[in-house]
Amino acid sequence: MNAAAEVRHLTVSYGEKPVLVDVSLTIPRGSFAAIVGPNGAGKTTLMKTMLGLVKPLAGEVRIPARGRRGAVGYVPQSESIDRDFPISAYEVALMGRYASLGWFRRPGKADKSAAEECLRRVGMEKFASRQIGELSGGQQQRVFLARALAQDAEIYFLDEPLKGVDAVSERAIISILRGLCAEGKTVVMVHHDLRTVRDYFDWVSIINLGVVASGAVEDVFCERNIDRAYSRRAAEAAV
Amino acid sequence: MTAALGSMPRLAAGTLAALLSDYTFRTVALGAAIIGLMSGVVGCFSVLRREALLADGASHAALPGVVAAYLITGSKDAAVLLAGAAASAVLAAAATVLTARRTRIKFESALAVAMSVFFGLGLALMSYAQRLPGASKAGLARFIYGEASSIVMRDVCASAALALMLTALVCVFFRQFKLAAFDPEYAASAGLRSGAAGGALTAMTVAVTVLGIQAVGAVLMSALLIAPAVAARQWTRSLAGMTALAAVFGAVSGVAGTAYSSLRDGVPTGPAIVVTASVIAGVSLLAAPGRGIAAKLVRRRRLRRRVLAANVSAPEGFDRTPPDASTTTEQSARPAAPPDGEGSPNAPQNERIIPAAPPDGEKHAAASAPDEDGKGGGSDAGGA
Repeated sequence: MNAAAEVRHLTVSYGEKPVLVDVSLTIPRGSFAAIVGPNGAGKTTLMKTMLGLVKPLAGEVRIPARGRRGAVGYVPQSESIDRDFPISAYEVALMGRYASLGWFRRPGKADKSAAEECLRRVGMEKFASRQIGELSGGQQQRVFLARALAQDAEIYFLDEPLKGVDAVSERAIISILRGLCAEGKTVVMVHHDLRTVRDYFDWVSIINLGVVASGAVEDVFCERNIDRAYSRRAAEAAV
Repeated sequence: MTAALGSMPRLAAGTLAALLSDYTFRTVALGAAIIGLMSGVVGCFSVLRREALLADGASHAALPGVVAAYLITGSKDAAVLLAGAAASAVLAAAATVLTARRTRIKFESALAVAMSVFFGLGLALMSYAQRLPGASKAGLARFIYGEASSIVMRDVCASAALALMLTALVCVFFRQFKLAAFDPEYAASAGLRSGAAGGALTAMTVAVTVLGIQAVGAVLMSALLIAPAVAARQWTRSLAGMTALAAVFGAVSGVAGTAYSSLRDGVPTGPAIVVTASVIAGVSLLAAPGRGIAAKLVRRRRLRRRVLAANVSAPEGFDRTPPDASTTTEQSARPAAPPDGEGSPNAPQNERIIPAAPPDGEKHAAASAPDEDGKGGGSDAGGA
């Protein structure tokens, strides 16, 4: 299998208690993959570790695309940024071009029009000059998505991009992401709404501390696996 | 310069002229202006990166270094003393960062401890040094509250050189600094070395802080970093504008504070500079258009009046931008969206529920279409 991302025996711990234990999974190239699991299962941690933002206690992450700068796109949760930062939506989108600019070159005409085009793709062109803090959470998410699109990455990581997004925007975002997969790019997304997993994704990793199941949606997304993932915490608490 | 002095209307023109023709005043004011300018620039990034506290810690922690440098070398040369200041500031910052990283103690707590310990040590060393013969002439006490009058032409040249370097760095790498301040995690994920930019910003903050304590003092230096940045944020919507404006505010504070303290005997320069900067910040917080408190109150009142006038029951006058005006193309389709959870790809997406997906084929049975009479029997999870 041609893997876009591979995680081997990953264990991550912030303090004494591990957040992820012996996680191994593979995400095939060109897939639209969901990471699901209950609150506190370690979904965001898994994503951040895959991105190299959190150092694992043990194990390794292999993402071949990382060889090229800017080939890994990331859409963080919108709460993670400072809402009072003096920056416009357009400037944020333009940041997606930084990776391809190197140290000294300034963004040129092509970069600027690419940033505008990406804002248009996420339906935020009318808000280009708005301050990031003046946008709603869902709109911020879309601006961050535009930034990742402007990057022209090989693999995209999105941390709950549908949180606080209305139904229309959700449909728009999903169709953009599907388009990326159709171009052969890989999209990995932390997702909360189990009802839409079958409709949206072709690959899913169900996690809770460890991997409960990971594979094609039709193979692993069954009631048994979901129950195992979502009741484990409760079972542990009962013991 | 004149603009700043002009803000003190009570000053007689004669005094002003005398002040301006005074060589010492010009030197000191220039020195203070340069320090204010650098503080403004660097302070913007400190404030936006939420590192303002670190600057505060660094300036307090610089004190024992000053005294130790004097005790070891016996020199009262500003360069030597400031080198000592830098050493102890960096030591304290390193201790703080390591403590925060290696233990469960929070960054602020670690900083508070390091800051108090270093400052206390500085005061203790100071009182010991003061009793030594000749020490009182070294003017160590000026590092607590600052004494801009101790600035000589050589200091001005040195800080001008640093200011030039710093300005050039910020201009050339503005993009990198902006990204490092705004979203360092994103930068790292894209393979951009934001750590280097962040480190450079922290180093510049420490350098400016240490340089500033001679004029402003260890106790108040951080205010000169923070106040111009906070004031500038009120007036602008871009980082470049904020940085430039903060530089101006810092420089103006430096000059005005120096002028005030040289006209009033007994007012130390540091507090005078910091009070000026704080007044600018206070006025900006109150009166800036858009973000100022006054503007917000006025807007709210106007809106309220309009809403009331437009009849409470049908507030059409309430011109609110629709939350999602952008997606107009699909707006028409919106009301008619999901017909009862049928095959719609996006069933109401609020809380997650565990779908009871049947093991075979059939797709959307799970999404709990409103089952009024509950005769479906199988509760949420057991449907299959």
